Amino acid sequence: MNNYRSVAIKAMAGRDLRSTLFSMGIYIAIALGLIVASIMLYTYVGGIMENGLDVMPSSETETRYYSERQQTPEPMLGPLQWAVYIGAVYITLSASMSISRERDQGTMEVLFYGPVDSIAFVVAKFLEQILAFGVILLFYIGYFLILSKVSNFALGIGFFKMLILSLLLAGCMASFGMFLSSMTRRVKTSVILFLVFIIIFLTVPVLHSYFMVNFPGNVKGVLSVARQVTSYLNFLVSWISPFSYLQRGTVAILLSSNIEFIKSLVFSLLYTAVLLAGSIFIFNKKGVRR
Amino acid sequence: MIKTHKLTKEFSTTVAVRDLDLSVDKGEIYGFLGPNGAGKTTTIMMLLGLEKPTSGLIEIFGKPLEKNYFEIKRNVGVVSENQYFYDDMTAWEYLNFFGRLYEVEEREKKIKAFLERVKLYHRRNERLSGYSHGMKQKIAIARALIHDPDLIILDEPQNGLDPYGIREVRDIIGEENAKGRTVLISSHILSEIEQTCNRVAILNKGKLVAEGPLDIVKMTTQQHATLIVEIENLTEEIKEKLTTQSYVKDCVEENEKLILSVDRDNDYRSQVARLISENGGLVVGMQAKSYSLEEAFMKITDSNLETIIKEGTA
Repeated sequence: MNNYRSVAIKAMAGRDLRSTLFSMGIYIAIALGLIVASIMLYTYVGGIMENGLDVMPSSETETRYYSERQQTPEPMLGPLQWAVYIGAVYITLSASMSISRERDQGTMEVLFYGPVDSIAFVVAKFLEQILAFGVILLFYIGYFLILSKVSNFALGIGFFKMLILSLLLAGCMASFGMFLSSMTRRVKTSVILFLVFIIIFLTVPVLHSYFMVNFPGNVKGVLSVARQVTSYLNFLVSWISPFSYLQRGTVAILLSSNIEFIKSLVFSLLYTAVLLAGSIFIFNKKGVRR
Repeated sequence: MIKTHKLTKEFSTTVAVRDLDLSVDKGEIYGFLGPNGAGKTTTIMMLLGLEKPTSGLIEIFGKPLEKNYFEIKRNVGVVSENQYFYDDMTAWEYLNFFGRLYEVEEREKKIKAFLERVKLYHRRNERLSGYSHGMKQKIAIARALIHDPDLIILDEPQNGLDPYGIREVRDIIGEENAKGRTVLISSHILSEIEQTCNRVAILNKGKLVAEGPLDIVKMTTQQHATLIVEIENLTEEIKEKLTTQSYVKDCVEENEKLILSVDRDNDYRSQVARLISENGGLVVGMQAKSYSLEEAFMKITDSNLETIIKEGTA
């Protein structure tokens, strides 16, 4: 990459990260993630106690317990996954405002008076989101390490695979948010767009499951059309939604399939690259002026 | 330093800039004038690569902008008419950030020097959100100069400043120009342009309607030069003789002075003085009336512009 461009990227990403670290949003996201993870773990422990097992089991007992229920033998995996989801949603929201906020404030124009082009700008914003997610992840890792020490729950290979996967998920989420942000001129519009897509990503799979579970056989008329439409939409969402990439990776971890895990990493990287390229393209079309 | 050739920018319903040929030489202070909506800011945005021209060429430092984007942009300082700041930053942090962006050497030393120069060093740790309009404008100027650019582009730099601020900005422009830097200023404060610029260009409705050294531009708006002659022993005969001269277009007596409109093609002062003396008069004083840039600007950009151009070229 052009040396001048990398200097610009470094300077802009540094400024943005500093601004993020001095704001409340990231700490609220971290706190929320940790609260949800704690609640999940508490429920796990409760479940184990209800089944008459030792709350601090040996790994052998633990593995047998989960394999009988076809669940993961790593109790930390689920809480981490949910904490990651919360962190990733924060990153998407932050990314979805990143470009439009600078355009809205006019600060983007001032940056472009200097040695900044669209590639440097978009990559800097992306890098800042990844670094911010890295900070979130550091808090999570610290928390789970302490928790593991206190509870004796092991942090297995799945946990570390999930950490790698979560970084790529952050890439997907950040690029998705930035793609939305590049399309809008106002922060308010970006946030609305973000909410609309989050609602779509959450409701479509639920609707699809509803139709598949409640109307599994041959149905006719409106129900048949609705089931077909939700099926198509669900397929679409499974490729558009950044969450689905984490889902694929998580399934691969649970199935202990290294090939599927690597495939999910590659898909995540491709998704990120395509959306970043799309963001730069739309950014160039929209221009930098308010 | 800056060259444009047939630069044109069309928006969906309007042509903002049409076939603009500009040439700004190294080391000069170039005034860029025009009424609101004339296309000045659009031109500046095209020069900076923020607006893509519909057609035409731009060269800065003798190189096309598109192919030398970073190299050129690192050597240009810009102050825009609008004030856009990161309000969560202090003045020091803001300048430090731009110092990093431009890879300024001895950054802290330079920031300190600039803040002292604009008399804001004592407020360096205050957030920009608390700064007044004038203070923000000074910070914008410091930001534009922090990397010692060879070309400085100022779009309404004195906008909203008090007389002290205007003078400070004028002094800064002069100091930077004295260091050999080229300055392009777009401004509505014509008296400032008149005081600071070597050459000017006047844009109207997207077209370049006048360009050149300040005096020449001021003169081009006048069909005739005006001589104000103070005469002792002024007689009707002198007036009649003057009126019959082919180069004299008009002769009016006003407060014991003769106001003569003469052709612009030559300096007729010695001929006028000789004729008066030959006819028994004594020239006590004579001066050519100078026109202000404001008068020239108003005339050039007036609604009857087309007529003036036609008359001027006839």
